[in-house]
Amino acid sequence: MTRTVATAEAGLNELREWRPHLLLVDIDQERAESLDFIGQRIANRRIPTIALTIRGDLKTKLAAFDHGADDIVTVPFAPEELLARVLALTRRTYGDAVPFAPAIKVAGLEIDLLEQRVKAGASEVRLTSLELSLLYLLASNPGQTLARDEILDALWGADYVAESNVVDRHIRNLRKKLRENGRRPRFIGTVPRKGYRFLGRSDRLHESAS
Amino acid sequence: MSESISNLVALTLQHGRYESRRTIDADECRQLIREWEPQLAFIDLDIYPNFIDVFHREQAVVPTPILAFTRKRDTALKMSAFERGVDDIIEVPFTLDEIVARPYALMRRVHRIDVPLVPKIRLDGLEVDLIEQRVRVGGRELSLTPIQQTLLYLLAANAGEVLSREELLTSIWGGEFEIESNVVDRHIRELRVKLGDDWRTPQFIETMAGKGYRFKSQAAADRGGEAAK
Repeated sequence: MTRTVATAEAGLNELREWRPHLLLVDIDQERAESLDFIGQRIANRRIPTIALTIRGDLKTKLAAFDHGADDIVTVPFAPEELLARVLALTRRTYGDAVPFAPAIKVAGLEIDLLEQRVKAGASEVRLTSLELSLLYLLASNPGQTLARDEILDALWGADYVAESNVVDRHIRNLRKKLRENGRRPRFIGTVPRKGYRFLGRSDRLHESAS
Repeated sequence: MSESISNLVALTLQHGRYESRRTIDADECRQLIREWEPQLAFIDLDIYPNFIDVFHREQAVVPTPILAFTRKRDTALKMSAFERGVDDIIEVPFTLDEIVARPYALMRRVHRIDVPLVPKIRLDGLEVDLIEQRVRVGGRELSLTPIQQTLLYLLAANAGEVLSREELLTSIWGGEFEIESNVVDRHIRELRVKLGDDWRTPQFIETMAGKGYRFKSQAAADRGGEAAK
């Protein structure tokens, strides 16, 4: 189960009544406050913390570790990278007490992150980790149009020099694997001149499949 | 891990004033653990996974924290590595700050040592500041992108050796990303422009026609000359 707050202050309030097993803190927003937040939760109760940063320069990383972050994940990240670090940290902190669900259900798709497989109806296909990242990015923003540049930044990083059609090509491959009907897609819609949009409801993304 | 990448790691570790040794032999590794007593171990998970067990069998009072490298984006592999006692994982390709920040965190966590950081090191005629991402050439100071910085370090760490385009490509961009074929040349060109290096009479980065690129260093040039005799 996850809860999201937008500010360090709201985070501290939340922690007064809820004790999560793990914290993910974006240290790019309100940098000083979020670093203090990490430091404070150390002082209060030791909740294992992963800092997220898009900058990922040495100064930022050292500051996060200095403030007591247990790990750092730089954006863009592959979903399995985040998962592996979350699992490693929870295991280090709690032993085997935290169960782990490799498969989640999203809008009629069953995604197994560990095996990198997606089941759509009767067919089961293996995705590359890039395709998996692309699917997670779209599915975690259902109904929202994501521009090509946004997708490029999220998956390849801002520093990356790509061919102009690299996003379209990966969308095409992903659609083929999901057996999408070109004219009436079930999962990934094209928004002309803008980008792509996930059509399915994915309100269960944060829950594990039974 | 390939010699060129382990040279890159060793050079980058100079920012933490670490001394490093490299081995690809299990017996030599055991001997190093007993006699040299490393405070950190870097293991290439894809090529030498059994070195993790070597460390576990030779364990001293304080276990040596292990950082593993992998090129595979495979959660199951990473999980099993963590279960086998790996403390942290760095994905290849990596940016240089990972090689400094993750050991820094591990030294704190396991040995409770705050490693003093050396932001600036000298690479021949260049002075590089890893924290500010700046390089000083002659009297000029300029800033580098993380990729340019990694490219420069990789070449300089292997001064005198020719690195092929493929080697640079897989070391810096990895195998999985699709990229334009001239991406290495383009980044070399940009780096040369920043360093004020003329490709016809380069001071730092030489083009080896049909082979790749080579970082020119006076010491390495002398060695190369002897070997050729």
